[in-house]
Amino acid sequence: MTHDKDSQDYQSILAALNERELTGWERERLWELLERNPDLIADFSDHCFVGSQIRSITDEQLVASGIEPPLRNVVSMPLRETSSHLSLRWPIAVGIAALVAFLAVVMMQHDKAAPPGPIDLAATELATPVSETSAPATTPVRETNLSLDDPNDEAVALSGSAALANSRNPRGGKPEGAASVPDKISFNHHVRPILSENCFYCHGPDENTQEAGLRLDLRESATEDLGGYAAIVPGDAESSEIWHRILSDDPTELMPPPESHRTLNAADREILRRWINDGAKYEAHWAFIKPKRSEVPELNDSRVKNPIDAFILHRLRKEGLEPNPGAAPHTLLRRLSLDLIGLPPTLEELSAFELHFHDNPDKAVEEAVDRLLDSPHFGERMALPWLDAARYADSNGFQQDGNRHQWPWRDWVIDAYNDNMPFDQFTLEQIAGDLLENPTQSQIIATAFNRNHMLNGEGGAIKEEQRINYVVDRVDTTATTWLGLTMACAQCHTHKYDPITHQEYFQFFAFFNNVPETGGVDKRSGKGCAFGSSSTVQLSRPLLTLPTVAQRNRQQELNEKIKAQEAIIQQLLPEVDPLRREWEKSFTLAQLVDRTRFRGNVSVYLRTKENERNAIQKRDITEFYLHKGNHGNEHWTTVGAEIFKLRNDLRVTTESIIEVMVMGENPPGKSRETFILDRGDYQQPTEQVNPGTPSFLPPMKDSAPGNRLGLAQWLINGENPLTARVTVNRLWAQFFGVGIVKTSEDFGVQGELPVHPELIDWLAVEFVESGWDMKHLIRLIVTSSTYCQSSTFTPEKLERDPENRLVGRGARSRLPAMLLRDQALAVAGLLRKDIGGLPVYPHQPEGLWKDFSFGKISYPHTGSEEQLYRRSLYTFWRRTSAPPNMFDSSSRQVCSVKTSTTNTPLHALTLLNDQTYVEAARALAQRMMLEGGESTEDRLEFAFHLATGRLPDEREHQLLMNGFDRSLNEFGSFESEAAEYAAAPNARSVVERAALTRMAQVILNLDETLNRP
Amino acid sequence: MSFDRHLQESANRLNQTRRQFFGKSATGIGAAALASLISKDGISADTLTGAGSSTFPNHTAKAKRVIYLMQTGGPSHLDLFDYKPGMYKRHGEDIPASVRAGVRLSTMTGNYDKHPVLRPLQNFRQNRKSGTWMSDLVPYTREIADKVCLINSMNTEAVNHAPGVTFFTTGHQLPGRPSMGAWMSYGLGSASEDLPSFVVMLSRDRENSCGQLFYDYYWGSGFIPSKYQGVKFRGQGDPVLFLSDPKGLSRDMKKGLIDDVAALNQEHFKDVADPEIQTRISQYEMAYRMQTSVPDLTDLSDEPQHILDMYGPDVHRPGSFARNCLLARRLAERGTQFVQLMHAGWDQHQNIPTQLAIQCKDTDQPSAALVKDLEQRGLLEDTLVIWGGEFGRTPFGQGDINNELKHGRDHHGAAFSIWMAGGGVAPGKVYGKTDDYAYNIVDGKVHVHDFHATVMHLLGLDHEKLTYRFQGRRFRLTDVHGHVVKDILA
Repeated sequence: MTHDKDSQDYQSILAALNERELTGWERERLWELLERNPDLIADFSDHCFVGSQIRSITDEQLVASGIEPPLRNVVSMPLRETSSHLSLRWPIAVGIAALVAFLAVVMMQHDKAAPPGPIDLAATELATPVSETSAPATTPVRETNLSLDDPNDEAVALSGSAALANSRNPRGGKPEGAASVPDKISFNHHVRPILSENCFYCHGPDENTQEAGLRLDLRESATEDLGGYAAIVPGDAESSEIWHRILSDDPTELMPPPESHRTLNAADREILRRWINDGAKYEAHWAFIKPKRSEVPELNDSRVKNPIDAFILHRLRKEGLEPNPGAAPHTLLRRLSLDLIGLPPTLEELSAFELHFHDNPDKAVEEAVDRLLDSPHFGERMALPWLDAARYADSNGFQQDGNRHQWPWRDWVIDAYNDNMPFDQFTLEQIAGDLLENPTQSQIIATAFNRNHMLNGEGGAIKEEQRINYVVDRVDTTATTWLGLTMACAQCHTHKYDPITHQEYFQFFAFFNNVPETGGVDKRSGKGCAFGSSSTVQLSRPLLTLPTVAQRNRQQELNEKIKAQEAIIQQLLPEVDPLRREWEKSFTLAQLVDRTRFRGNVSVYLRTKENERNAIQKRDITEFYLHKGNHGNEHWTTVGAEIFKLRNDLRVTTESIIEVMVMGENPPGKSRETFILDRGDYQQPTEQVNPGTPSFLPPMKDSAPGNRLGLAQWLINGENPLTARVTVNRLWAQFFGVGIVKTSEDFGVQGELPVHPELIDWLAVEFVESGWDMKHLIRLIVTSSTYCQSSTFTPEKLERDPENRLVGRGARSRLPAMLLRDQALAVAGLLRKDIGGLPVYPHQPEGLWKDFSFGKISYPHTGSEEQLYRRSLYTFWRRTSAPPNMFDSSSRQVCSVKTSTTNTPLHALTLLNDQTYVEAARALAQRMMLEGGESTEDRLEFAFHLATGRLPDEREHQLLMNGFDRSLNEFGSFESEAAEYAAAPNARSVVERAALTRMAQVILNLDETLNRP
Repeated sequence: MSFDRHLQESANRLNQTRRQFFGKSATGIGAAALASLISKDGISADTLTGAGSSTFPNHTAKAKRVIYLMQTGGPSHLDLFDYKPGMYKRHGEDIPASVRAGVRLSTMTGNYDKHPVLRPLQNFRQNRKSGTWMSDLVPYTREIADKVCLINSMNTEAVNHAPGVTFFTTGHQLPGRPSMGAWMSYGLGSASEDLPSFVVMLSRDRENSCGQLFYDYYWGSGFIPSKYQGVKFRGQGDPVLFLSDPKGLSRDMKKGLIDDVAALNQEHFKDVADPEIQTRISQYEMAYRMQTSVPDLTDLSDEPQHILDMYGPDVHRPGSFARNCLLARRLAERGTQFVQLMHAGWDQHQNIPTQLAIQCKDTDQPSAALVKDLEQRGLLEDTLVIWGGEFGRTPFGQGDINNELKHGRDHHGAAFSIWMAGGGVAPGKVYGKTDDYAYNIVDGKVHVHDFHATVMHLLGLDHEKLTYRFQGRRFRLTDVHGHVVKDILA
């Protein structure tokens, strides 16, 4: 039945393929079918190449055309679209490789010439200890490849399936390229991915779903005697129950069961069979073992500048590939500047660097790197991914979406990067700064990391339910950011794949569950904004108050004045009180209930009997009476008005003081107890647990406190196998587009295996031993030859390593939207470079905030340059209505450790029509006229140089000039339109200005401008 | 072949392909297959397109598109759809604890001592053809009730708006999952050449009384690629953000600008050979085309008066629900597959006697007009129209039930109503039963997950098979739950 379904699916996908582009789902399905069914591969390639015009194209053309076969490229990409910048490119490239490989299969069947196929990225062995070495294979098994038609034609077989394998996304821990049957089978590389993907869901760590009591993730239970038989009999696949089940024709016996929609392909089955016959050896998961400093390959090559190059070059050589030549100096400086400070180099910096580079390239690079690492903008650039991980925003999200003041934490991050705060300290202060001995104000601000989660001030929200959500968010964010673990999966039940029990989840949860917080909003201030509330700012305790000296002085001054005024009133009381009582009696009940007649809560106080009123109530009534009563006494009115004004000033001053939501801990004896929540439901607490870390990782030190401080120390104690690896991997992804482990967010058994296992471990150890020195690690990366390569694509590398995982070329990628905006402003000369401070409100289309908030929240369109032209990082981030021109940014709602880079028409519209970009083009035109020389040629060249870092070549020059001439012509007949477009009604030579503005738009929209080269 | 030459040839080839789809020329099978192969991730669903027919393999689709009229705030099921004649007499009686047991309420009424019955606000009557009971508050909907499948046995766990709406739109109460429209785009691709496949339009209630906020994750793509997210069309200003050219730049000049960018990009492509450059060129051209296709969509001058009249007077007000209903029909005609209208204002805790009628006035006539209009164009049979909120409202009153100006109903997820029409659902059917108080479901419970499974089924998608890998597991819209409600299928 399953088979019929496959065939139906396949036919309908083919039919679809003739009609239109395949959908994401269809790609995945087609891929699955091809993978499972070798016969279909041949059929499919026939279909592709015989059934369409494609047949006439050569493989080289395919490569260069960016052909994407209908593979599952979109489907299994983890976390929003993908890893980092390369994301978009890679599926295309991957597809190309696969199609080329299909061609290769077809061709080889004719002439048996085997060109080098795509690289099996899993080829490198991992040095992981083997936990069980007994039971060698007893029966010698003939090693054949069952997976393809012609078992004798192994070259064809492997090339075909390796190509497919290579084009799959990292999924299920399966390293790319693992679907063929390798000579030597590794548990970590080949077997666990199959078991994990297909079996663990029902036979994994989760005790609730260990069907038939069987658990396959541990050797002990997998090989246990089940009454004369065992799931796995080491050394004897034929006697192993799982082997029979895998081959079974009976749908009730077949494993994986048909309803799971999981199937093993022939290669998977062969791997399992051979693994069992080889003794069914299990290995610990690579990422859960402490990294050792790997041996650096010894290579005699001038391109090896540091060990990174040695590892990379060694591997490339093994594949018969050479790295690209070094990038041109202007390209290199543009790359370094954008990567390290997020701004393009100036023309002066470019020419100085090019000169210097000519004399001494290494030194030129080192000095440029030093300059950039010392720049105060370094911290701004580095903060971007950290802000995404920390889901930093300037509002709370949810219905009322009140504002918050977390920006001092944002500035703390920028400063920490600029000061090169060691990463262990960076960790310690953010997770447990408040628990350090005599913490400084800065250390307490750091803990805002764990309060950056969303906050729900909605009326009917159940506070405890919300509070639990916040704690859960802290667990997820911490686990993802520092450990690369998908701990969230263990919130409702024991993790299906990784050894994290439901109980351990709540032990980890307990670290974050002892904050003196209510789960609600408990401080509101400001007036007239947030929806469903009269308060602009909505905060939740604990809070850190950060008054400026001026604010403190003003408070003191006002308090003194208020005291003096109160003394005056005190003296008046004997005279005032009787008249006030008369005044009170003059109101009817209906009038008293009308709050608008009075102010504050005076209406309520007046309805309280006088002898039951407290001091504040009495005070407020008296002061109101003096100010607004019918006594006719001018002096009293003045006194009342004065104190009203003073109190109001004090309130305004107090509310203007920034308060940051930070972490705190309930005092001893009042600790909040933590219970396991059944299915993660806050209403179903079961067993009580204490704070603790998962037992599959090295334990906390005995001396460590059982709170967040102990947790932070555990993360950075050097024994933890994950922290350093996860951190260097994210950093690698920042500079090369994709991590050494592609699944930055998942280092567990379902995550991808590292493409350069030795390198990631070497970097991790180097990082820790350098004292967690961020700038050291970055310097190492960006001064390597590997980083400094040109990013030109070649057909060979596109074919063999489409995603550039081996780093045989530099990583070219579109800049994140935030940096696109910064760059446009910088090139235009508009950028304000001040660092830190209150969030700002640059241009956005009218009405966006009003639209979503029913008119309750309006955007402060101020128009001042301090607001319009600051770096994107400082733009007010409203969670319910994020800045509309920051496309592909993380939503800042939950932790995100990967960026997404898509390419859609909506982005083109933004870059062409958004007011900020249009103003940048106008300003760039202005700059061309002022600084770009006298001739149009010089001016165009100047702008092109600013935006791309290089001078246009002859052909480009011609295109620019033609474009200018044409626009000059067009605007010539429409002078008023020209004036409008150039926003220069009275300027001289307005037509020329408009034509230059149009060319500035062209230049700012060039692919080269939009890309980090 | 030299590298230069093959670059040149491939660029030519791409140009040719691009011209083909730009010129909307007929493409032979081979060329279409090629375009399909060449199309890159970035363009795919939104741009490169072909026949709109779905060939999703699970089964034949009954519905090719969905128009979801989401009514946020929680429309009162027992005032509108779930007819409980006995409740008029029981006005003021306490609803027995046995009936209320086990139902989670919001903090607003969770600790009430008394739960007095609040009788339905108006009378109910039957549709003459199907016999479906509906309130006088929704006369237009009652008129089309014979085309509608009314479900009175909806069920959700959510007690608050945002989680409730998130549940309906994404299959999960917390933000972060792909929305239904995103799942559909992902599963079925796009049928429109120059409009997004998933469009969202928002309207607030006329009185701006107690509307809920609309979060963009209600139409977000969650963890699947962002190109699948809904594109919000605005009622004010540019229908799509940044759609208008800078002032003073004519369409021709804009075309010239984009051509210049493309020519220079082609030059650079020769140097770096990054295939992404070709994608970018196409996207800029697509953007240019959208600048025409979107205004054409929103220009109603070609609609005859009698059609405008059907949707009611509000149709002339940009951003109104009526206007959006008409635009939804225009989008459906142009190939957009998922249109999500978000209307707010149903959250009547304190003012149901006055406010409910106003909401109904806003939505009743245009919703019914949309169904009729689709039908007369032959589109209803393969367009699924869904009307409903994130939960219903309590059968007991909140506030002073004897003071017309001071009472309403609280949120109620244990049982409530939605309706669907067209696209393969049984017309004129009433499905599911609640108890005498419309408090609990007695028969035919349809949980949110079941609702999703059913909608997906109508679209030809098996909800258990449409999966996306994230965090190491295969996620689906219905999570690990959901059953197709076979009884409501036509």
